[in-house]
Amino acid sequence: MRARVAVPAGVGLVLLAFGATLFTPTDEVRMAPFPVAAGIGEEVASQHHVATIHEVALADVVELDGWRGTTSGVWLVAEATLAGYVERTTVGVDLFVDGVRFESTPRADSDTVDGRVVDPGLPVTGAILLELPRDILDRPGATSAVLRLGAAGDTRLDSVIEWRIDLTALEHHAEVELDRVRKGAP
Amino acid sequence: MSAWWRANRWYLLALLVLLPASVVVAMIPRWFPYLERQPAAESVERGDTARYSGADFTLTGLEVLDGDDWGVPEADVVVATLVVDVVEPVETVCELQVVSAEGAGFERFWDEAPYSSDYDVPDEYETRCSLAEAGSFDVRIPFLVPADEVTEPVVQVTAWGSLPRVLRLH
Repeated sequence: MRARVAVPAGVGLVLLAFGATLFTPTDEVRMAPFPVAAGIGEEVASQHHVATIHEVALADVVELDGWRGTTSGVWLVAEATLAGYVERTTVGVDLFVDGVRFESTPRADSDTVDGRVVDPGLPVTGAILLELPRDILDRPGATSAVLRLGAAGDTRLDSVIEWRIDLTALEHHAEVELDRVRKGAP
Repeated sequence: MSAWWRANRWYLLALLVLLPASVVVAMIPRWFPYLERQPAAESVERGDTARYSGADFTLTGLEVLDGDDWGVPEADVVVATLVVDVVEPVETVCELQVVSAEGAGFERFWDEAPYSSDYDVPDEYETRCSLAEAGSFDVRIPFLVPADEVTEPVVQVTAWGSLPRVLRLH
């Protein structure tokens, strides 16, 4: 009886060890932020922000308060209303396409809502602007890109809001004129 | 199989107790330091003085002004005035925040907003709470809070060297 059980048990334990090694989470998984999923037009809250993205589009050229933003790639433009949830919080926005991270542009200075600070109950509305490569729509993850909003800087193990976006389905404008950041919701 | 369960019942029962116990024991070294790091708020009534981070703090004024009158219709302006008497100087500044659970049902915090409204702090007041030099000064800080939501604000004083202790001035 013991011999009959010992061999399968031994093989089973070896397989278990392989499985444990195989499925041990990587650092990237263990340190991943805690996302709150959101849809366009839906107000959602993370531990840091209350946010609504009203619309998203692509553009070849953007104009913002006298600044004309040209690019050899393409702009991802979103209009968002943001506020802090508990306390004053910085705003950082990234787009992930097939595991590649694209940061929001610093080129528009502080005329966009990302890169600012927001306070609880005092929403601001304005543009989020990301400069993407021209071939972004041809990349494998373009149909399920993730726009992530969190506190600026390190978001590991932190609360974030994520919008899943099909970049190939977005309207593509030749030129878009953006409004400056303004107080309140639209 | 039932014989096996019967023969090992005490070991299995011990396992049922020991497994949760081991989880609890493993958490203890992290749980208590976590608790010790949580802010410990000390309440001080208006006009009373409390020693904190080597200085005596007295809240002498706390007003909620209508934002319509100060160019911020979406907000109210909370103006806090304190007397700070630095007795044992330390190379740090104290951070002031307005705290309120009104409007949201949970505590929210607002940082100073000196340039966000038309409210100007008179010249005789300091707008920075430095604890680096001995002496007494009056400090006045404006904050913006959502309009018509905060009627009884509390001023929280924080200095990095004195955390997790914080002052709550009512």
